[in-house]
Amino acid sequence: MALFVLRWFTMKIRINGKEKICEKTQTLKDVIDTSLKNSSHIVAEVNGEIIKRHRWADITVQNGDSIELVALVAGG
Amino acid sequence: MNTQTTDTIEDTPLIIANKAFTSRFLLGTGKFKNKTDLAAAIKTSGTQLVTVALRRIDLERHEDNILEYIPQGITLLTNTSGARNASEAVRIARLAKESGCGNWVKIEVINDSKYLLPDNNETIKATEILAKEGFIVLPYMFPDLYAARALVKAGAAAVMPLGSCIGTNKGLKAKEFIQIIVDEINEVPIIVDAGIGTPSQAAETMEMGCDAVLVNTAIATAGNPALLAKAFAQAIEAGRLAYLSKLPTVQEKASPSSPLTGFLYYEK
Repeated sequence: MALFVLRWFTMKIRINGKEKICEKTQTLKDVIDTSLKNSSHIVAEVNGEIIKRHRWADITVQNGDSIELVALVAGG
Repeated sequence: MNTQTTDTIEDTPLIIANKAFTSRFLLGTGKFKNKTDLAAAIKTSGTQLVTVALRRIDLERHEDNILEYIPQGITLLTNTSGARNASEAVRIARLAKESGCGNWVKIEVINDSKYLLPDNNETIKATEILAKEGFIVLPYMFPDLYAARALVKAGAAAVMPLGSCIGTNKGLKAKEFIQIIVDEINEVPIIVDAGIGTPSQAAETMEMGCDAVLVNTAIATAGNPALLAKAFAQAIEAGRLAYLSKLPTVQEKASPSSPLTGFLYYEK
């Protein structure tokens, strides 16, 4: 029963390759804000599609979604 | 009075995709021990074009934003390093553009982990796709004339042949083939990227007629990166001036530098 309730309210997603259980009906912005202190320099991809920053709050994350959060780093 | 001094020799700026650069020194930002060393090297190098890369962030720890260490006004060139084929390079380029660093991209496609040699075929494919999307594409390539021509045709804004394998500091191992590209490709600048380990190698690269040099490992891993960056800047400038001076050719036979005295011989 407890497992059933848990499944009812939660979903499984992947962020940067790591599995994460989180509440349902979260937006991409919610997920990013709970994962990172500062997301000002981050680019987000959901299932391989780039989601522009101004749309983060419009996108509802679905069970099974794969989210990539990337940033510029030093490199040659 | 002769007023012809070096100050009157005017070099034309390096033009890439209609943008003018007075510095012919591109600096890679990878491998520096810390960001302070990087910031100091950027300053002493006088570079106006630096490379950065894109990476999945580590959610467990805070990471500095690299852009905080790169002064405003310096053009960013995002490297697609990590891409193993054209489609991965295209994906990285699109993500980089979204990060707000502009649309200049260095295509680096490598699927050989031992020698880190660029895959010219995949690089050409990625260049064509990204150039059509409006990116300014600077492809890193193995010095092959046919590939260089194909890259130009695909819309590359410059061609960047390797001097030797990435990070080896071996210098111009591919010199003859780079020279062919320099001699035959006139449409876009030729920038030697990878393997340049010392200022003398950078000077030699510029003397050949290459338009610019990209250095990373040698500077980042030096005991004093800022000092070496300054040395590279001077060497690149020296090599450029030497090239512009129209260097004399090598002679097989000796010829005197001083006039014969005219009197230390017996008159007949």
